[in-house]
Amino acid sequence: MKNTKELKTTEYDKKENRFKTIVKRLFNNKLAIVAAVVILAIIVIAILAPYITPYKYDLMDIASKNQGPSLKHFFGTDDLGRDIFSRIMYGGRYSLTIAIIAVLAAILVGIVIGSVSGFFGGMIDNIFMRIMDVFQAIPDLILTIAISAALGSGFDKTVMALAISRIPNFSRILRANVLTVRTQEYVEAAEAIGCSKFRRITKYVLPNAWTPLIVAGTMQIASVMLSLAALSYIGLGIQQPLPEWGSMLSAARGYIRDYPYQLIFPGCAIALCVLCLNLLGDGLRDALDPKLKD
Amino acid sequence: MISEKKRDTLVEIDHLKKYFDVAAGTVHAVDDITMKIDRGETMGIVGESGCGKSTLGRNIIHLQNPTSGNIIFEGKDVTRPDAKELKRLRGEMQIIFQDPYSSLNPRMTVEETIMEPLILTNRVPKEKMDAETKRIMDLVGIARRVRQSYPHELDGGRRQRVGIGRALALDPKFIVCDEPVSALDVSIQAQILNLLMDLQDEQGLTYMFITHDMSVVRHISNNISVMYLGQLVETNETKKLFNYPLHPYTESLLSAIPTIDLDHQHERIKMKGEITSPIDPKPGCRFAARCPYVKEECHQPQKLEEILPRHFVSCCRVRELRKEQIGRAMREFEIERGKNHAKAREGVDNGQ
Amino acid sequence: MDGNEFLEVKDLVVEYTSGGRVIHAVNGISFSLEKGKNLALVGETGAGKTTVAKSILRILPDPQGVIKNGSITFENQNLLKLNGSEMRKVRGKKISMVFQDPMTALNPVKTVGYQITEVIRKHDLIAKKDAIEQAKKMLEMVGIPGERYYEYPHQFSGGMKQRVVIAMALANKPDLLLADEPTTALDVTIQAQVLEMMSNLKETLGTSIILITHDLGIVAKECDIVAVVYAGEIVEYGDKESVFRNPAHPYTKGLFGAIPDLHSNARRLANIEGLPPDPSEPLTGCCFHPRCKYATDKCAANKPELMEITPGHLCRCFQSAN
Repeated sequence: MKNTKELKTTEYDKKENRFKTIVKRLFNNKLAIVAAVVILAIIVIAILAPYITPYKYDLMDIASKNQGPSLKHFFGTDDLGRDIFSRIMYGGRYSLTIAIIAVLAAILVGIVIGSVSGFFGGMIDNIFMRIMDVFQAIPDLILTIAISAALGSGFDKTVMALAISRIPNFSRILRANVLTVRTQEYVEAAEAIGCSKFRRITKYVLPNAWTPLIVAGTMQIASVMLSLAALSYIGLGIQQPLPEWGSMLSAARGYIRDYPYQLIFPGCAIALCVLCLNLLGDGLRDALDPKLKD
Repeated sequence: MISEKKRDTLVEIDHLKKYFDVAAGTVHAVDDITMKIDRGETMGIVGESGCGKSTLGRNIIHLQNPTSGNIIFEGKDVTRPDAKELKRLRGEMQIIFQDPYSSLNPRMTVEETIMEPLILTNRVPKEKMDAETKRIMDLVGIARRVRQSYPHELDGGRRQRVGIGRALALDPKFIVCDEPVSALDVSIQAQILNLLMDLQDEQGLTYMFITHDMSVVRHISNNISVMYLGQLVETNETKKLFNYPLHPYTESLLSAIPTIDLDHQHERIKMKGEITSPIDPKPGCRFAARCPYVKEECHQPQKLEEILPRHFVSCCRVRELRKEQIGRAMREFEIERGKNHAKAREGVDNGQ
Repeated sequence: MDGNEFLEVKDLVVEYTSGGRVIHAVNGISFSLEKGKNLALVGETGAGKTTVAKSILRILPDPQGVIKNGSITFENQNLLKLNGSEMRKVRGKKISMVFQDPMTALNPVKTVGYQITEVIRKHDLIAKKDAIEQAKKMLEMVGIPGERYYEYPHQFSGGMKQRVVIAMALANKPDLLLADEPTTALDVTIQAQVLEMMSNLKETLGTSIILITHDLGIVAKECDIVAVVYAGEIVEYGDKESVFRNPAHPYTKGLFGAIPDLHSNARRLANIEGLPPDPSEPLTGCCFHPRCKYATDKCAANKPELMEITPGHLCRCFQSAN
């Protein structure tokens, strides 16, 4: 009797849904969930800003300028009489949006460079990585400033500058993973059944190499936000009257002794976002960790 | 003189060499291997770690390019195929990997993995792909329930079945089995070995079965080639290899195998020292450093000699060390040949 | 099981908790060992054999691994009742363990000699010079030249690393050695060397060995008593001759049938259908009944006890009594 037919077995291979497992693990991490909720809230507030802010962000009321926090203006007013609370709420549109778009763009380019470099190796790898080396030899912020200065200020130019400065980081991470995955037997097996190089990269290597980018990406959004704040602070990036948190800090820097609240609120907004993004990134990394795969 | 039964050689390997350059020098991973594998048979390749058996398998399947030598498939030289020829060869020569845990793409379901080869070639038209995938899964015994599962949800034995199914999907003639059961538990090993043998009978497959486990290779192979540090030391029919191993390494290897038969516990034949390095090896027999019978001439390059029909040994001292066994084998062979002559004559008399 | 035993394990129950699930690794294992004898714990992956060994040494992962019940009596002491420092005196001195993978058992940044010396000095107040001498002697005993004391693990091959590990384990001349698949990762010729060496050491030092393995061939050569473990229970137990010549439990019979042995000529291997049970789901009835050819309703409903078939040969199966 051949035993090649269906086995009479006592298997316990329940159809475990991998996605559900990851989500479940994430939910066990209370801190990460709180952080995610906060980020979500900031995003929702930013989206709904035009409808829910007490004042328009550019509404100037010189008579009420430089007033501290009060019932009328929760966070006080700046030196042009604009309501800081409203501007903080609006600010998410710029700070978070720019950061997210920049990181996404950097990830996309990083994936292409990293996978080509890691998969083919040799001269191509050498050239790409040496170019990345040059970029990474310059401190992050200085590099960003230099590119931004070259491109100019404004929404899209700033996004580009920030994205370019992060590409080396992502391409390195992806390349490292590609190098590991490329040597796995299932990639060899794909070659043995006649799989083209392109298909091997896209169907076999990348899907198994890109997950660390989720975590790295989340963390980078925070870092990019800080860079953006720095850019705006020194006059590049996003400029007044747009309520980008960094430029709000910049405008108020002369008043640090007299009206500290003008710096505290935008500063806290940035800090809160960065903290939550880092916590979320940590949580995602723990949830995706294959070691927990029993 | 009546000639022997005509051979139907499917795969022939001729003086195959594969060298790798590493920082410390050149690794002679596969060094001058020659063998013939007939259609429908299983050629076992045995040896311990570092002997080059896996490298040999991968070179034959064109996952690596040999440094020199030839691979001949169905009479045609396929050592360096062009893209079109390579595509055709993929449909004829396949491989099953050792580790069921790393040879399947974690992001593809069982069904997707088996359908992939069908998608890549045009062996069956698109409409028939689904049905063909189901047929293959039935053939290798994958329960319907797990066809949408991912590899990490399955146990080793099932994963290996998927690997076998994938290799079969292209309907190959020749399959290199690279330690296919070494990573499995004993009871699962038996299931998979039985499956491989059944498939061979049903589909007329030819196997190159690579393993370090002598008991397994004895069970499944018709012929066995023993490798040591990249060199081929002995090739013979399975039963004969086990009954009278000629090469000193083969003899040591066999004596080291533990057996569960309480009445046949044997003493192992000791080899001196440790295995030598495959990097820039000195000429001559690589086993000389550990051989209990080593002499001066062993350090000269050795030749693979056909001591008896289809029995090859690479040892300069074999005739003097094994006089008795060779004599016995010779006599056995004569008797066999006599019987074959008689049968053939009968055939002639009966007008065939 | 008479009063000569110097190790007695009784009704051992061990559980692991992992992510909310409870894994019943060991479900009531009892056995005993006389001084000077070798016991083999045979079974496949997940049967619970390593857990038993780790329980004896009390090195289960904390807090996931818990000994829920049972006693482990060694030289008239219940090991489970000892406190931390008392247990530390036992480990490495009275009972040692050798693990499967020699590659990861050694500290790569310390010389092999130092690692042996460390073990010696942990248990004995002797001068460093003397400890080094002893360590070198241990190396010689396992077939490694004493001068290699000063070399690092990466300078040794797999087989030699395992010998160093064995030297470490035997440095304090323990009474009991737990060897968990000590040769599985080694080539067959090296395996033979290492096993032979362990045998000789057993003779010289009088150490008893509990050998954990899935390879019945090794058991045939090295061990006196065999315990077949399945799903956390001992399903068959007896001296080597009885178990090998008259395997009584269907699982044992299946294991023997599934091995392609050098001296058998069967074409197809008699294999065991199915898979081992999920240790996180408690089973009713006999642990093997879902895969057993001879299973009856009685087997599915009731759990068999270990029954004596012939003196000293026990089997956990309703059918075997016949």
